[in-house]
Amino acid sequence: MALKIGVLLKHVPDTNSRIQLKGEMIDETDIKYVINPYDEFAIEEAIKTKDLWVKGGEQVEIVGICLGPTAAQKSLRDAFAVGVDRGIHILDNDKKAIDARSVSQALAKVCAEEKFNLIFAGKQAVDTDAHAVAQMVAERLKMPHIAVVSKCEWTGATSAKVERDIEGGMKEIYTVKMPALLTANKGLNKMRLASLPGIRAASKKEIKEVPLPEVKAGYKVKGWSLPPERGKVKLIEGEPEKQAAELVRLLHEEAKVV
Amino acid sequence: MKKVLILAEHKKGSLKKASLELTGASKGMEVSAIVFGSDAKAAADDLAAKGVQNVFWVKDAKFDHYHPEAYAAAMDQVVSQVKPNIILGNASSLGKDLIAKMAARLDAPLAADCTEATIQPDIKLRRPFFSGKAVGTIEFEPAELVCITVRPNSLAPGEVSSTAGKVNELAVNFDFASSAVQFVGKTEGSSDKPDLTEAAIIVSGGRSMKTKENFKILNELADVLGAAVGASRAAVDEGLASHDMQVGQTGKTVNPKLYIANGISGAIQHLAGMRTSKVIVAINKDAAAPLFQKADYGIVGDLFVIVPLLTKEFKKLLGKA
Repeated sequence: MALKIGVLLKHVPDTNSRIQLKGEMIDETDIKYVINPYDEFAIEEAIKTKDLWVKGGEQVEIVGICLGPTAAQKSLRDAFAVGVDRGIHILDNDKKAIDARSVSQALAKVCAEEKFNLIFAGKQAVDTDAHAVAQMVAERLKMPHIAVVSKCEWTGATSAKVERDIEGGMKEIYTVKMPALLTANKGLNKMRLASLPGIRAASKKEIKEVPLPEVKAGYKVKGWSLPPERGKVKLIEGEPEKQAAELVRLLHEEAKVV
Repeated sequence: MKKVLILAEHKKGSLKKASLELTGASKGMEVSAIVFGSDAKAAADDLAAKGVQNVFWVKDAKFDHYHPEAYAAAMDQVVSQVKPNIILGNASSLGKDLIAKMAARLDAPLAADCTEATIQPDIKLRRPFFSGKAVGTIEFEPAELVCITVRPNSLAPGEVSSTAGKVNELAVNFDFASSAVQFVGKTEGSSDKPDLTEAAIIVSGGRSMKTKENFKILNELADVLGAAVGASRAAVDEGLASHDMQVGQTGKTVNPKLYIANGISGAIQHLAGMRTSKVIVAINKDAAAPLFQKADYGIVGDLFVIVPLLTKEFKKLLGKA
Protein backbone atom coordinates (compact mmCIF):
# COMPACT_ATOMS: atom_id res chain seq x y z
CA MET A 1 0.00 0.00 0.00
CA ALA A 2 1.33 3.37 -0.89
CA LEU A 3 1.57 5.95 1.84
CA LYS A 4 0.90 9.61 1.28
CA ILE A 5 2.41 12.46 3.26
CA GLY A 6 0.98 15.95 2.87
CA VAL A 7 2.98 19.09 3.60
CA LEU A 8 1.19 22.40 4.03
CA LEU A 9 3.30 25.22 2.62
CA LYS A 10 2.94 28.96 2.65
CA HIS A 11 4.69 31.53 0.50
CA VAL A 12 5.52 34.40 2.88
CA PRO A 13 7.68 37.53 3.12
CA ASP A 14 11.26 36.74 4.08
CA THR A 15 11.83 37.57 7.76
CA ASN A 16 14.39 40.18 6.71
CA SER A 17 11.72 42.05 4.75
CA ARG A 18 10.72 45.51 5.86
CA ILE A 19 6.95 45.97 5.82
CA GLN A 20 5.74 49.29 4.46
CA LEU A 21 2.30 50.70 3.85
CA LYS A 22 1.00 52.19 0.65
CA GLY A 23 -2.01 54.19 1.68
CA GLU A 24 -3.94 51.86 3.96
CA MET A 25 -2.59 48.66 2.42
CA ILE A 26 0.57 46.60 2.75
CA ASP A 27 3.03 47.63 0.05
CA GLU A 28 4.27 44.43 -1.50
CA THR A 29 6.64 45.92 -4.08
CA ASP A 30 9.91 45.35 -2.23
CA ILE A 31 9.02 42.20 -0.38
CA LYS A 32 10.94 39.06 -1.20
CA TYR A 33 8.84 35.92 -0.74
CA VAL A 34 10.12 32.56 0.48
CA ILE A 35 8.83 29.30 1.94
CA ASN A 36 7.60 29.99 5.46
CA PRO A 37 10.62 29.13 7.69
CA TYR A 38 8.62 26.75 9.90
CA ASP A 39 7.34 24.94 6.79
CA GLU A 40 10.95 24.10 5.92
CA PHE A 41 11.06 21.96 9.05
CA ALA A 42 7.82 20.30 7.95
CA ILE A 43 9.27 19.56 4.51
CA GLU A 44 12.46 18.09 5.95
CA GLU A 45 10.55 15.90 8.40
CA ALA A 46 8.35 14.63 5.56
CA ILE A 47 11.43 13.71 3.53
CA LYS A 48 13.10 12.02 6.51
CA THR A 49 9.93 10.08 7.21
CA LYS A 50 9.62 9.05 3.57
CA ASP A 51 13.24 7.85 3.51
CA LEU A 52 12.60 5.77 6.62
CA TRP A 53 9.46 4.20 5.23
CA VAL A 54 10.97 3.57 1.81
CA LYS A 55 13.77 1.68 3.56
CA GLY A 56 11.03 -0.38 5.20
CA GLY A 57 9.74 -1.34 1.76
CA GLU A 58 6.87 1.12 1.48
CA GLN A 59 5.93 3.25 -1.47
CA VAL A 60 5.71 6.82 -0.28
CA GLU A 61 4.67 10.04 -1.96
CA ILE A 62 5.04 13.56 -0.54
CA VAL A 63 2.51 16.11 -1.74
CA GLY A 64 3.02 19.82 -1.09
CA ILE A 65 -0.12 21.91 -0.76
CA CYS A 66 0.08 25.63 -1.09
CA LEU A 67 -2.67 28.25 -1.08
CA GLY A 68 -1.79 31.60 -2.57
CA PRO A 69 -1.37 33.73 -5.65
CA THR A 70 0.29 32.49 -8.85
CA ALA A 71 3.70 33.54 -7.53
CA ALA A 72 3.36 31.08 -4.64
CA GLN A 73 4.23 28.24 -7.03
CA LYS A 74 7.84 29.22 -6.46
CA SER A 75 7.65 27.84 -2.93
CA LEU A 76 6.28 24.56 -4.28
CA ARG A 77 9.18 24.36 -6.77
CA ASP A 78 11.65 25.08 -3.96
CA ALA A 79 10.08 22.25 -1.98
CA PHE A 80 10.34 19.96 -5.02
CA ALA A 81 14.06 20.70 -5.24
CA VAL A 82 14.69 19.15 -1.82
CA GLY A 83 12.43 16.15 -2.32
CA VAL A 84 8.70 16.88 -2.30
CA ASP A 85 7.21 14.78 -5.12
CA ARG A 86 4.32 16.81 -6.46
CA GLY A 87 2.23 19.83 -5.59
CA ILE A 88 -1.28 21.13 -5.41
CA HIS A 89 -1.66 24.86 -5.75
CA ILE A 90 -4.93 26.32 -4.52
CA LEU A 91 -5.04 29.47 -6.56
CA ASP A 92 -6.19 32.58 -4.70
CA ASN A 93 -5.09 35.66 -6.63
CA ASP A 94 -8.02 37.66 -5.26
CA LYS A 95 -7.01 36.99 -1.64
CA LYS A 96 -10.39 35.64 -0.67
CA ALA A 97 -8.90 33.24 1.87
CA ILE A 98 -7.43 35.77 4.27
CA ASP A 99 -7.83 34.31 7.72
CA ALA A 100 -7.39 31.03 9.57
CA ARG A 101 -11.03 30.09 9.09
CA SER A 102 -11.12 30.44 5.31
CA VAL A 103 -7.62 29.08 4.69
CA SER A 104 -8.26 26.03 6.85
CA GLN A 105 -11.56 25.39 5.03
CA ALA A 106 -9.80 25.38 1.65
CA LEU A 107 -6.81 23.30 2.76
CA ALA A 108 -9.03 20.77 4.54
CA LYS A 109 -11.13 20.27 1.43
CA VAL A 110 -8.09 19.49 -0.71
CA CYS A 111 -6.48 17.33 1.99
CA ALA A 112 -9.69 15.32 2.37
CA GLU A 113 -9.58 14.41 -1.33
CA GLU A 114 -5.94 13.31 -1.06
CA LYS A 115 -6.60 11.05 1.95
CA PHE A 116 -3.21 11.63 3.56
CA ASN A 117 -1.80 9.17 6.08
CA LEU A 118 0.24 11.92 7.64
CA ILE A 119 0.36 15.71 7.33
CA PHE A 120 3.17 18.04 8.34
CA ALA A 121 2.91 21.82 8.59
CA GLY A 122 4.91 24.63 10.13
CA LYS A 123 3.71 25.68 13.58
CA GLN A 124 2.76 29.09 12.23
CA ALA A 125 3.26 31.25 9.16
CA VAL A 126 5.46 34.28 9.79
CA ASP A 127 3.07 36.66 8.01
CA THR A 128 -0.33 36.10 9.64
CA ASP A 129 1.16 34.43 12.76
CA ALA A 130 -2.19 32.90 13.71
CA HIS A 131 -0.64 29.63 14.84
CA ALA A 132 -4.01 28.09 14.06
CA VAL A 133 -4.48 26.97 10.47
CA ALA A 134 -2.89 23.52 10.77
CA GLN A 135 -4.81 22.63 13.93
CA MET A 136 -7.99 23.78 12.22
CA VAL A 137 -7.25 21.65 9.15
CA ALA A 138 -6.73 18.65 11.43
CA GLU A 139 -9.99 19.29 13.24
CA ARG A 140 -11.91 19.67 9.98
CA LEU A 141 -10.41 16.37 8.80
CA LYS A 142 -11.24 14.75 12.16
CA MET A 143 -7.56 13.92 12.38
CA PRO A 144 -5.66 14.08 15.68
CA HIS A 145 -2.85 16.60 15.84
CA ILE A 146 0.08 17.60 17.99
CA ALA A 147 1.45 21.11 17.48
CA VAL A 148 4.87 22.70 17.99
CA VAL A 149 6.79 19.46 17.62
CA SER A 150 10.56 19.59 18.06
CA LYS A 151 11.20 15.85 18.03
CA CYS A 152 9.52 13.04 16.13
CA GLU A 153 10.58 9.44 16.49
CA TRP A 154 8.81 6.57 14.72
CA THR A 155 8.27 3.74 17.15
CA GLY A 156 6.22 1.51 14.88
CA ALA A 157 4.83 1.38 11.37
CA THR A 158 2.03 3.81 12.18
CA SER A 159 2.94 5.39 15.48
CA ALA A 160 5.40 8.04 16.57
CA LYS A 161 6.61 9.51 19.80
CA VAL A 162 6.66 13.28 19.57
CA GLU A 163 7.77 16.14 21.78
CA ARG A 164 5.79 19.36 21.87
CA ASP A 165 7.43 22.58 23.07
CA ILE A 166 5.48 24.57 25.64
CA GLU A 167 6.22 27.49 27.94
CA GLY A 168 9.32 27.67 30.06
CA GLY A 169 11.39 25.35 27.87
CA MET A 170 9.22 22.40 28.94
CA LYS A 171 8.19 19.62 26.60
CA GLU A 172 5.04 17.53 26.56
CA ILE A 173 5.61 14.04 25.20
CA TYR A 174 2.92 12.11 23.34
CA THR A 175 2.52 9.02 21.24
CA VAL A 176 0.45 9.56 18.10
CA LYS A 177 -1.08 7.01 15.77
CA MET A 178 -1.60 7.79 12.09
CA PRO A 179 -3.45 9.30 10.39
CA ALA A 180 -2.31 12.44 12.17
CA LEU A 181 -1.14 15.99 11.63
CA LEU A 182 2.01 17.39 13.22
CA THR A 183 3.18 21.00 13.23
CA ALA A 184 6.91 21.65 13.24
CA ASN A 185 8.91 23.95 15.47
CA LYS A 186 12.48 25.12 15.10
CA GLY A 187 14.73 22.45 16.57
CA LEU A 188 12.98 19.57 14.82
CA ASN A 189 15.56 19.48 12.03
CA LYS A 190 17.25 21.71 9.51
CA MET A 191 16.08 21.58 5.91
CA ARG A 192 18.63 20.03 3.58
CA LEU A 193 20.04 22.09 0.75
CA ALA A 194 18.75 21.38 -2.72
CA SER A 195 21.11 19.31 -4.87
CA LEU A 196 21.73 20.16 -8.51
CA PRO A 197 19.83 17.09 -9.79
CA GLY A 198 17.10 18.01 -7.28
CA ILE A 199 16.83 21.51 -8.73
CA ARG A 200 16.74 20.11 -12.26
CA ALA A 201 14.05 17.59 -11.35
CA ALA A 202 11.99 20.29 -9.61
CA SER A 203 11.03 22.03 -12.85
CA LYS A 204 9.55 18.79 -14.18
CA LYS A 205 7.45 17.84 -11.19
CA GLU A 206 3.72 18.25 -11.42
CA ILE A 207 1.80 21.15 -9.90
CA LYS A 208 -1.92 20.66 -10.06
CA GLU A 209 -3.64 24.02 -9.97
CA VAL A 210 -7.06 23.98 -8.37
CA PRO A 211 -9.49 26.86 -7.90
CA LEU A 212 -10.17 28.13 -4.40
CA PRO A 213 -13.12 26.19 -3.00
CA GLU A 214 -15.99 28.20 -1.59
CA VAL A 215 -14.76 29.58 1.73
CA LYS A 216 -16.10 31.87 4.42
CA ALA A 217 -13.64 34.29 5.98
CA GLY A 218 -14.14 34.95 9.68
CA TYR A 219 -12.84 38.49 9.61
CA LYS A 220 -11.44 41.18 7.42
CA VAL A 221 -8.60 43.53 8.21
CA LYS A 222 -10.14 46.97 8.24
CA GLY A 223 -6.99 48.98 8.45
CA TRP A 224 -3.27 48.62 8.75
CA SER A 225 -0.78 50.63 10.69
CA LEU A 226 2.89 50.37 11.39
CA PRO A 227 3.97 50.00 15.00
CA PRO A 228 4.49 53.39 16.64
CA GLU A 229 8.03 54.71 16.48
CA ARG A 230 9.67 55.43 19.80
CA GLY A 231 11.04 58.81 20.71
CA LYS A 232 14.73 59.41 20.39
CA VAL A 233 16.85 57.12 22.53
CA LYS A 234 18.17 58.61 25.76
CA LEU A 235 21.86 57.75 25.80
CA ILE A 236 23.40 57.65 29.24
CA GLU A 237 26.93 59.01 29.37
CA GLY A 238 29.68 58.90 31.95
CA GLU A 239 31.72 56.32 33.79
CA PRO A 240 30.21 52.79 33.91
CA GLU A 241 29.29 53.12 37.62
CA LYS A 242 27.47 56.37 36.91
CA GLN A 243 25.82 54.98 33.78
CA ALA A 244 24.47 51.97 35.65
CA ALA A 245 23.19 54.04 38.57
CA GLU A 246 21.55 56.56 36.26
CA LEU A 247 19.86 53.86 34.15
CA VAL A 248 18.42 52.22 37.25
CA ARG A 249 17.20 55.61 38.49
CA LEU A 250 15.53 56.39 35.14
CA LEU A 251 13.85 52.99 34.91
CA HIS A 252 12.54 53.41 38.44
CA GLU A 253 11.60 57.09 38.54
CA GLU A 254 10.95 58.08 34.94
CA ALA A 255 9.81 54.95 33.10
CA LYS A 256 8.42 53.43 36.32
CA VAL A 257 8.93 49.87 35.11
CA VAL A 258 10.99 48.65 38.07
CA MET B 1 -26.12 40.46 26.68
CA LYS B 2 -23.12 38.71 25.15
CA LYS B 3 -21.91 35.64 27.00
CA VAL B 4 -18.24 34.92 27.44
CA LEU B 5 -16.44 31.65 28.03
CA ILE B 6 -12.89 32.03 29.30
CA LEU B 7 -10.26 29.32 28.93
CA ALA B 8 -8.40 29.93 32.19
CA GLU B 9 -4.91 28.66 33.01
CA HIS B 10 -2.99 28.03 36.17
CA LYS B 11 0.52 27.19 37.18
CA LYS B 12 0.71 24.62 39.97
CA GLY B 13 -2.76 25.64 41.10
CA SER B 14 -2.46 29.40 41.08
CA LEU B 15 -4.35 31.29 38.45
CA LYS B 16 -2.14 32.91 35.81
CA LYS B 17 -2.08 36.68 35.65
CA ALA B 18 -2.85 36.39 31.94
CA SER B 19 -6.20 34.78 32.84
CA LEU B 20 -7.00 37.78 35.05
CA GLU B 21 -6.46 39.98 32.01
CA LEU B 22 -9.37 38.07 30.44
CA THR B 23 -11.66 38.48 33.44
CA GLY B 24 -10.75 42.17 33.43
CA ALA B 25 -11.77 42.48 29.79
CA SER B 26 -15.12 40.79 30.57
CA LYS B 27 -16.08 43.14 33.41
CA GLY B 28 -19.81 43.21 34.00
CA MET B 29 -20.60 40.52 31.44
CA GLU B 30 -22.13 37.08 31.80
CA VAL B 31 -18.98 35.03 32.16
CA SER B 32 -18.15 31.35 32.48
CA ALA B 33 -14.68 29.89 32.69
CA ILE B 34 -13.16 26.46 32.31
CA VAL B 35 -10.00 25.33 34.08
CA PHE B 36 -8.29 21.94 33.88
CA GLY B 37 -6.47 19.77 36.38
CA SER B 38 -6.83 18.02 39.71
CA ASP B 39 -4.53 20.66 41.22
CA ALA B 40 -6.58 23.62 39.93
CA LYS B 41 -8.90 24.06 42.91
CA ALA B 42 -7.31 27.31 44.08
CA ALA B 43 -7.45 28.68 40.54
CA ALA B 44 -11.12 27.71 40.20
CA ASP B 45 -11.94 29.34 43.53
CA ASP B 46 -10.03 32.43 42.52
CA LEU B 47 -12.01 32.70 39.26
CA ALA B 48 -15.26 32.47 41.21
CA ALA B 49 -13.99 35.10 43.64
CA LYS B 50 -13.22 37.37 40.70
CA GLY B 51 -16.89 37.28 39.74
CA VAL B 52 -16.93 34.58 37.08
CA GLN B 53 -20.51 33.34 37.53
CA ASN B 54 -19.91 29.75 36.48
CA VAL B 55 -16.53 28.17 36.84
CA PHE B 56 -16.23 24.70 35.31
CA TRP B 57 -13.43 22.82 36.98
CA VAL B 58 -12.33 19.65 35.21
CA LYS B 59 -10.99 17.94 38.29
CA ASP B 60 -10.28 14.48 36.84
CA ALA B 61 -6.53 13.85 37.07
CA LYS B 62 -6.58 12.44 33.54
CA PHE B 63 -6.91 16.10 32.49
CA ASP B 64 -3.81 17.23 34.38
CA HIS B 65 -1.92 17.36 31.10
CA TYR B 66 -2.99 18.75 27.78
CA HIS B 67 -4.65 16.34 25.41
CA PRO B 68 -6.16 18.18 22.40
CA GLU B 69 -9.11 15.81 21.83
CA ALA B 70 -9.96 15.41 25.51
CA TYR B 71 -9.76 19.12 26.27
CA ALA B 72 -11.88 19.85 23.21
CA ALA B 73 -14.49 17.38 24.46
CA ALA B 74 -14.61 19.27 27.75
CA MET B 75 -14.89 22.61 25.96
CA ASP B 76 -17.68 21.14 23.84
CA GLN B 77 -19.69 20.20 26.92
CA VAL B 78 -19.35 23.67 28.39
CA VAL B 79 -20.10 25.38 25.07
CA SER B 80 -23.33 23.46 24.62
CA GLN B 81 -24.32 24.27 28.17
CA VAL B 82 -23.56 28.00 28.32
CA LYS B 83 -23.85 28.84 24.59
CA PRO B 84 -21.23 31.58 24.64
CA ASN B 85 -20.94 34.35 22.05
CA ILE B 86 -17.24 34.78 22.71
CA ILE B 87 -14.64 32.16 23.58
CA LEU B 88 -11.72 33.99 25.09
CA GLY B 89 -8.27 32.63 25.85
CA ASN B 90 -4.64 33.58 26.07
CA ALA B 91 -2.26 33.24 23.17
CA SER B 92 -0.37 30.65 25.23
CA SER B 93 0.74 27.13 24.30
CA LEU B 94 -2.64 25.86 25.47
CA GLY B 95 -4.83 28.71 24.23
CA LYS B 96 -3.32 28.94 20.76
CA ASP B 97 -3.86 25.22 20.22
CA LEU B 98 -7.16 24.46 21.90
CA ILE B 99 -9.01 27.59 20.83
CA ALA B 100 -7.93 27.08 17.21
CA LYS B 101 -9.27 23.54 17.41
CA MET B 102 -12.55 24.77 18.87
CA ALA B 103 -12.86 27.51 16.25
CA ALA B 104 -12.69 24.85 13.53
CA ARG B 105 -15.04 22.50 15.35
CA LEU B 106 -17.63 25.25 15.76
CA ASP B 107 -16.66 26.83 12.41
CA ALA B 108 -16.35 30.15 14.23
CA PRO B 109 -14.21 33.13 13.24
CA LEU B 110 -10.92 33.30 15.11
CA ALA B 111 -8.74 36.30 15.85
CA ALA B 112 -5.56 34.93 17.38
CA ASP B 113 -2.89 36.66 19.43
CA CYS B 114 -4.59 40.05 19.73
CA THR B 115 -2.54 42.76 21.43
CA GLU B 116 -5.43 45.18 21.79
CA ALA B 117 -8.80 43.77 22.73
CA THR B 118 -12.04 45.31 23.89
CA ILE B 119 -15.00 42.96 23.94
CA GLN B 120 -17.77 45.18 25.22
CA PRO B 121 -20.02 46.87 24.40
CA ASP B 122 -18.53 46.17 20.97
CA ILE B 123 -15.68 43.93 19.99
CA LYS B 124 -12.63 45.94 18.99
CA LEU B 125 -9.48 44.04 18.18
CA ARG B 126 -6.06 44.75 16.81
CA ARG B 127 -3.43 42.14 16.20
CA PRO B 128 0.12 42.12 14.89
CA PHE B 129 0.96 40.70 11.50
CA PHE B 130 4.45 39.90 10.18
CA SER B 131 5.47 39.40 13.82
CA GLY B 132 4.56 42.94 14.69
CA LYS B 133 6.02 44.73 11.69
CA ALA B 134 2.44 45.82 10.99
CA VAL B 135 -0.74 45.91 13.04
CA GLY B 136 -4.18 45.21 11.62
CA THR B 137 -7.63 46.19 12.88
CA ILE B 138 -9.85 43.14 12.85
CA GLU B 139 -13.50 43.23 11.94
CA PHE B 140 -15.37 39.96 12.41
CA GLU B 141 -17.92 38.87 9.87
CA PRO B 142 -21.33 38.51 11.53
CA ALA B 143 -21.35 35.32 13.65
CA GLU B 144 -23.16 33.85 16.63
CA LEU B 145 -19.87 32.90 18.19
CA VAL B 146 -16.35 34.24 17.80
CA CYS B 147 -13.04 33.03 19.23
CA ILE B 148 -10.35 35.39 20.46
CA THR B 149 -6.93 34.79 21.96
CA VAL B 150 -5.05 37.64 23.62
CA ARG B 151 -1.31 37.94 24.04
CA PRO B 152 -0.29 37.95 27.73
CA ASN B 153 0.53 41.39 29.20
CA SER B 154 -1.77 43.15 26.71
CA LEU B 155 -4.67 43.99 29.04
CA ALA B 156 -5.12 45.22 32.60
CA PRO B 157 -5.94 42.42 35.05
CA GLY B 158 -9.29 42.85 36.77
CA GLU B 159 -12.40 41.17 38.05
CA VAL B 160 -15.72 40.46 36.35
CA SER B 161 -17.71 41.68 39.35
CA SER B 162 -17.53 41.83 43.11
CA THR B 163 -20.24 39.18 43.42
CA ALA B 164 -18.60 35.80 43.73
CA GLY B 165 -19.68 33.05 41.35
CA LYS B 166 -19.70 29.32 41.91
CA VAL B 167 -17.41 26.45 41.05
CA ASN B 168 -18.94 23.43 39.30
CA GLU B 169 -16.96 20.24 38.98
CA LEU B 170 -17.24 19.10 35.38
CA ALA B 171 -17.20 15.41 34.57
CA VAL B 172 -16.09 14.97 30.98
CA ASN B 173 -17.10 12.14 28.78
CA PHE B 174 -13.94 11.16 26.93
CA ASP B 175 -12.47 7.78 26.20
CA PHE B 176 -8.74 8.25 26.67
CA ALA B 177 -7.93 4.60 26.03
CA SER B 178 -9.21 4.60 22.47
CA SER B 179 -7.65 7.94 21.49
CA ALA B 180 -4.93 8.00 18.82
CA VAL B 181 -3.00 10.41 21.03
CA GLN B 182 -1.58 9.36 24.38
CA PHE B 183 0.16 11.66 26.82
CA VAL B 184 3.42 10.06 27.91
CA GLY B 185 5.14 12.62 30.07
CA LYS B 186 6.48 16.08 30.52
CA THR B 187 10.02 17.33 30.91
CA GLU B 188 10.77 19.95 33.52
CA GLY B 189 11.84 23.36 32.32
CA SER B 190 15.43 24.45 32.29
CA SER B 191 14.87 27.15 34.89
CA ASP B 192 12.53 28.43 37.56
CA LYS B 193 12.36 31.83 35.87
CA PRO B 194 9.09 33.17 34.42
CA ASP B 195 8.37 32.23 30.84
CA LEU B 196 9.51 34.68 28.18
CA THR B 197 6.05 35.06 26.70
CA GLU B 198 4.57 35.99 30.07
CA ALA B 199 7.47 37.80 31.72
CA ALA B 200 7.09 41.42 32.77
CA ILE B 201 10.84 41.97 32.50
CA ILE B 202 13.27 40.30 30.09
CA VAL B 203 17.06 40.40 30.10
CA SER B 204 18.34 39.31 26.73
CA GLY B 205 21.74 38.55 25.25
CA GLY B 206 23.19 38.54 21.75
CA ARG B 207 26.22 37.18 19.98
CA SER B 208 28.47 39.49 22.01
CA MET B 209 27.86 37.27 25.03
CA LYS B 210 30.55 35.11 23.38
CA THR B 211 30.04 31.97 25.49
CA LYS B 212 27.21 30.05 27.07
CA GLU B 213 28.81 30.51 30.50
CA ASN B 214 28.73 34.29 30.13
CA PHE B 215 24.92 34.18 30.27
CA LYS B 216 25.49 33.78 34.01
CA ILE B 217 25.72 37.55 34.40
CA LEU B 218 22.36 37.94 32.65
CA ASN B 219 20.86 35.25 34.89
CA GLU B 220 22.10 37.11 37.96
CA LEU B 221 20.52 40.36 36.79
CA ALA B 222 17.32 38.52 35.89
CA ASP B 223 17.12 36.90 39.32
CA VAL B 224 17.23 40.28 41.03
CA LEU B 225 14.46 41.60 38.76
CA GLY B 226 12.34 38.43 38.68
CA ALA B 227 12.95 38.51 34.95
CA ALA B 228 13.18 35.92 32.19
CA VAL B 229 16.33 35.52 30.10
CA GLY B 230 16.14 35.68 26.32
CA ALA B 231 18.57 35.56 23.44
CA SER B 232 18.90 36.72 19.84
CA ARG B 233 18.84 34.31 16.93
CA ALA B 234 22.56 34.89 16.39
CA ALA B 235 23.25 33.77 19.96
CA VAL B 236 21.03 30.71 19.58
CA ASP B 237 22.45 29.71 16.20
CA GLU B 238 25.95 29.87 17.65
CA GLY B 239 24.94 27.61 20.50
CA LEU B 240 25.24 30.22 23.25
CA ALA B 241 21.61 29.78 24.28
CA SER B 242 18.87 27.20 23.76
CA HIS B 243 16.17 27.69 21.17
CA ASP B 244 13.41 28.14 23.73
CA MET B 245 15.20 31.35 24.73
CA GLN B 246 15.13 32.84 21.24
CA VAL B 247 13.25 36.11 20.86
CA GLY B 248 12.33 37.13 17.35
CA GLN B 249 10.45 36.19 14.25
CA THR B 250 11.46 32.54 14.34
CA GLY B 251 11.45 32.43 18.12
CA LYS B 252 9.25 33.83 20.85
CA THR B 253 7.26 37.00 20.48
CA VAL B 254 7.45 38.80 23.79
CA ASN B 255 5.55 41.65 25.33
CA PRO B 256 7.22 42.75 28.60
CA LYS B 257 7.14 46.15 30.23
CA LEU B 258 10.94 46.22 30.26
CA TYR B 259 13.32 44.60 27.76
CA ILE B 260 17.03 44.92 28.44
CA ALA B 261 19.02 43.96 25.32
CA ASN B 262 22.66 43.21 25.92
CA GLY B 263 25.00 43.08 22.96
CA ILE B 264 22.11 42.65 20.52
CA SER B 265 22.59 44.53 17.29
CA GLY B 266 18.88 44.72 16.50
CA ALA B 267 18.32 42.73 13.32
CA ILE B 268 14.87 43.32 11.89
CA GLN B 269 13.78 39.78 12.73
CA HIS B 270 14.76 40.30 16.40
CA LEU B 271 12.90 43.62 16.58
CA ALA B 272 9.83 41.84 15.27
CA GLY B 273 9.76 39.66 18.37
CA MET B 274 10.19 42.36 21.02
CA ARG B 275 9.10 45.68 19.60
CA THR B 276 5.88 45.84 21.62
CA SER B 277 7.95 45.95 24.83
CA LYS B 278 6.90 49.04 26.77
CA VAL B 279 10.45 50.16 27.54
CA ILE B 280 13.54 48.97 25.67
CA VAL B 281 17.08 49.35 26.97
CA ALA B 282 20.03 48.75 24.66
CA ILE B 283 23.49 48.05 25.99
CA ASN B 284 26.14 47.65 23.32
CA LYS B 285 29.78 48.52 22.68
CA ASP B 286 28.91 49.39 19.11
CA ALA B 287 27.30 52.84 19.07
CA ALA B 288 26.08 52.17 15.51
CA ALA B 289 23.99 49.12 16.53
CA PRO B 290 20.54 49.60 14.95
CA LEU B 291 18.85 48.68 18.23
CA PHE B 292 19.82 52.11 19.63
CA GLN B 293 17.37 53.57 17.09
CA LYS B 294 14.56 51.47 18.58
CA ALA B 295 15.44 51.79 22.25
CA ASP B 296 14.20 54.19 24.91
CA TYR B 297 17.41 54.15 26.92
CA GLY B 298 20.89 53.24 25.78
CA ILE B 299 24.33 52.73 27.18
CA VAL B 300 27.24 52.57 24.78
CA GLY B 301 29.62 50.41 26.72
CA ASP B 302 30.95 46.98 27.58
CA LEU B 303 28.10 44.78 28.75
CA PHE B 304 30.52 42.68 30.82
CA VAL B 305 31.20 45.81 32.89
CA ILE B 306 27.73 47.35 32.82
CA VAL B 307 25.55 44.31 33.56
CA PRO B 308 27.14 43.38 36.92
CA LEU B 309 26.93 47.05 37.93
CA LEU B 310 23.24 47.07 37.04
CA THR B 311 22.72 43.95 39.14
CA LYS B 312 24.36 45.74 42.07
CA GLU B 313 22.29 48.91 41.58
CA PHE B 314 18.99 47.05 41.24
CA LYS B 315 19.82 45.04 44.37
CA LYS B 316 20.26 48.31 46.22
CA LEU B 317 17.04 49.74 44.82
CA LEU B 318 14.99 46.65 45.57
CA GLY B 319 16.48 46.19 49.01
CA LYS B 320 18.11 42.90 48.07
CA ALA B 321 21.68 44.00 48.72
